[in-house]
Amino acid sequence: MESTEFAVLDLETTGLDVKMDEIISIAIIPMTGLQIHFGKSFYSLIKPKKFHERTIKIHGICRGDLDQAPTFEMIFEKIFGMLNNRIIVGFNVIFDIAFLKESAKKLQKNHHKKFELKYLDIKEIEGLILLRAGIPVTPFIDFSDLLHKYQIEGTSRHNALSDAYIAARIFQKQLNALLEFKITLDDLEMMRRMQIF
Amino acid sequence: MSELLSGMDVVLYKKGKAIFESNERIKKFYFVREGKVGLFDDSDLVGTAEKDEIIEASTSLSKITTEHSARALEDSIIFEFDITRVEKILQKNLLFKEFIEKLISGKLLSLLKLADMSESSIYEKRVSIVINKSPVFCFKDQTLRETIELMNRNDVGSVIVVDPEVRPIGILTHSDILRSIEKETPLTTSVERVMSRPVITIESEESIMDAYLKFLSHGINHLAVVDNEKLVGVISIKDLIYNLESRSHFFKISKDIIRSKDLEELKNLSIRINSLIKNASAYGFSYPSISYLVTTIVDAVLRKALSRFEPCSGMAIVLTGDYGKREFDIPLTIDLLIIGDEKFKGTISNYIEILSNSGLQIGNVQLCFDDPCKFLNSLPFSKLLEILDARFIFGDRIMYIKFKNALKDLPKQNTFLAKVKTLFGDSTIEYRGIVQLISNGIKVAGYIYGDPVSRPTWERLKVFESRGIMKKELAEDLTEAYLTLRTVELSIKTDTKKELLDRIIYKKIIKVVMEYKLWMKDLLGWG
Repeated sequence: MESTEFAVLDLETTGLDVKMDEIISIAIIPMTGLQIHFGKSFYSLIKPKKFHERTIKIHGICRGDLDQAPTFEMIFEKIFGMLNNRIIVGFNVIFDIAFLKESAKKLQKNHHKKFELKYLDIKEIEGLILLRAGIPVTPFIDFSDLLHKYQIEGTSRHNALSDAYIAARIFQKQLNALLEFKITLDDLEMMRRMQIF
Repeated sequence: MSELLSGMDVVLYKKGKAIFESNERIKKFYFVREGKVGLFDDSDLVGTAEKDEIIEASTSLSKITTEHSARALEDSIIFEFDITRVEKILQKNLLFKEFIEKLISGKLLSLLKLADMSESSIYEKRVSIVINKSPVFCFKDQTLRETIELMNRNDVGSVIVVDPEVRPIGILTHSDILRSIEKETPLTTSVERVMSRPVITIESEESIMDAYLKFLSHGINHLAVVDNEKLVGVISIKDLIYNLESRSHFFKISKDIIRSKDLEELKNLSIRINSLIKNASAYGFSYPSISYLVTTIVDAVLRKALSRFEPCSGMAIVLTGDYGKREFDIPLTIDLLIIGDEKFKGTISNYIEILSNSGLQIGNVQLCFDDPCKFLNSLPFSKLLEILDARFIFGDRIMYIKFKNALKDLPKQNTFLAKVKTLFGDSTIEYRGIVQLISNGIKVAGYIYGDPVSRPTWERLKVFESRGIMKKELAEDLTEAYLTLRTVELSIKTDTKKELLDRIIYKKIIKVVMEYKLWMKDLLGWG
């Protein structure tokens, strides 16, 4: 696990509906084991097909910004290159992966099949760490709890890059704890299958 | 900053893991964010680096090989910057270089919060604090000639073009003007036809990080700041960098103070101190580090202003109150005590006049031409408390020491202690009085334990803790409570933060203060 390649992912979307809503920004920060390669991170706004007024309120991204942004198709190869062969890490990351798959599907290039990627959710990992520490798992772990627990400054800002950075800092500490407990990736996979979370 | 960040790794080293070996040429600049790192000569521990310190900075910058190896003594998080990028920044930016040099010299190590500057604070600080001037704009139907005149008048390189509702629709820059001259566009053309569009905007409540990303992603030099679509300001990439480096400006200003030639120049520098405090507070610097910087600068102003007088025996100027103990409040006010022989009575006004003209706000001025003991006995209790913070700044040091000797025994007198007890007698705790309650009590306790040196409250608490006078837990909690209140007070006064203290924190503070009161009562002998 110490030399495993990870990619911390965060997306901002126009809403929560995978079918209807679109990705408007993406951040990917590569990690190798306990190293966060912040310098190699990727951040981009993405021009959606149609504009959704309400997203401004959440993300502070205005139409003018997105007009000049590349489309998903233009940066798809870059995104895919950064995620391929890495384990994707994030908070509620299954949601982000679903969006990526859906967006790839819309490109009609059979790319979505390639997105059968391995992932780890920092929320699930936290559940496992708590379990090991003998604390019953609560399904209600939120982002700010994690910030607090791992003493990481900053608040979730709804900016993909800053959120991904914070998630990476949390995951780094979790990974350190997992190494201490000698938990392997296979263990994590098994736990998920047993629906422990 | 982007140079730095684009070469940054954040690495967690497990306890015992090597960061670099000896006789290695290091290519990185290691900044300890969390944990503790040991430097080893073979297997001997020769030094440590803790939170916010840089490991072997001089070695990495001077490109020599390391004498020591470095290993994590606990699980440590290190920010690693690519050394070539750090060098590039040093070459480009002299202020930053000066800042790093200070750092390497070790004097300011504990103050550095480089990581915070690149991390959470830039996510949390609003664009609105960076706007430093009202925007220069013109309406879209104004002529090119009018707009050029406007630019000349305001000495700016670009103007924002707005529609009748003051919503930005474009920007006119020098290069647009050059292009129109080339095309021989008549000066009577409306500006709308020559401007560049669209203009990139940012909401004033967005974070500096967002602004920064916009500058980067659009490759532009100016952003129009809007509130509800209406133009409220313009920020340039320079403004942003200037603000990100507000700390290094502290260094520049103190250098300028020392070099200033006349009182006028000094005054112009010292009136900037309040805005520097505001900046530093907005950037999340802690109260102790701001107060350290403020003291350095203000002391420099005072010494410079007084340097026109020959230091003579028989007269001393002493700082009292908050500023005496190296703390401060906004607006910064300097309280003074002048002690001297009778024959100096007539010249005192000269000193006060010079100090008042140095741009600093002079508060209470006490005069003591009597026997110190007699003088102290004549003072009301509240004034006595202020004078306990006495710190020498100018004149006859022997005279000051004599005065301090008289002062030293004062808090041991029963009449004085009886009055201190009244401060702690009240069973209710009033929020506004907590800061004073802590600083006064701790100060008196310091005197009682034979430490009359003027110190900031948090340093005194540290002394108490190390000497076993106060339990570690209480000393730490009390320091935290005190600094939290000071910081919140400061940010409210500088308008950088509107909200009041969180209820939970407030409850915690009250609990700590109750415990502190018990400690004081015990000390004063009626626990």
